[in-house]
Amino acid sequence: MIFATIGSMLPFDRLVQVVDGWSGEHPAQEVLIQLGQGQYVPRHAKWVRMMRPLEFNQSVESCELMVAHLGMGSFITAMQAGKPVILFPRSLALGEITSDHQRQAADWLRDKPGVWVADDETALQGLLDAFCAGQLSVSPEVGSRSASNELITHVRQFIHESRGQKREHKGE
Amino acid sequence: MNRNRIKVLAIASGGGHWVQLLRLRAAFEGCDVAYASVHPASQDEVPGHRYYAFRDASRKNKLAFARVVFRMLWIILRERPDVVVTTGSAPALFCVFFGRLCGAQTLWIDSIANCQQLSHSGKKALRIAHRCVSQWPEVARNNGIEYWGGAL
Repeated sequence: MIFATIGSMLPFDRLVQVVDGWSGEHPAQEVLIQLGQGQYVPRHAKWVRMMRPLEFNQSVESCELMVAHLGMGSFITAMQAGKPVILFPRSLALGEITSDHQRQAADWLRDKPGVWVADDETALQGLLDAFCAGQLSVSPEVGSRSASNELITHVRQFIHESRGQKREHKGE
Repeated sequence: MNRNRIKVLAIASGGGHWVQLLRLRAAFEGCDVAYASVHPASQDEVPGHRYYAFRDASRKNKLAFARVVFRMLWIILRERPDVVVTTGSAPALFCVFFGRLCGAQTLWIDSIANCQQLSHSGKKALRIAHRCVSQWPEVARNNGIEYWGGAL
């Protein structure tokens, strides 16, 4: 199953349209799309507006390929599950997002194993075809579900120093 | 609740903000933790913890925006946390602000998505939170803040 998701906030019809159009041309492929508040309703693929988080995680676990907007939530979820993922950045110029950080993050993500960035609709279709041809078979290494030890240690330290800070504050 | 435990309020908007916050859970071990995010159903992901949902709103919609601000104040007054930890976005600034007014230590961790510059909210957090860190060494350096490693 191919699981496509637009993320959790703003609509992203461009992604839904490409994936649905592609699905129409590949009826043998099972495709499920989470489309959020988008206007475009898929004609070929199965779809859902919004899943509960646990249901969402199950869809990720049971898919062979994820297609998502280039959001950290989608990327990290795919990585945690070890699923290959095609990331399609939202465009600031088209009003699909409020800052251009998705395009900026594209360059950092595109070289990771198991991650493919589709810069436009044609590239997205091409990558879906490549998946069908067995060319996107690399999966990301299943990552841990925790932040780096360095960050965890610093945050823990910050939290435990809060006691001392409070005491000092009261002592003033 | 055990009064000896440090009370942490961990708050984030949806999507990547929330996913990064969940990856910090190990740092909260031993604390009394409450979570807050935008989807009521996200409560499923933090069983056994108090959970508050809030609605995200843009500044353009004044009524919805005011509602978010009051909701943040309400959450802080209800929780009275010792520490507020957030991975963004904008609504969490109010939680940091009210939390600090009520005596909490406040930490802003800018989302890893902001790999070239600090987010707009992160720039505001520089002035509001006790500590603001970036997950990118260069972004941290450019803003004169610390880099504490990444959420990945």
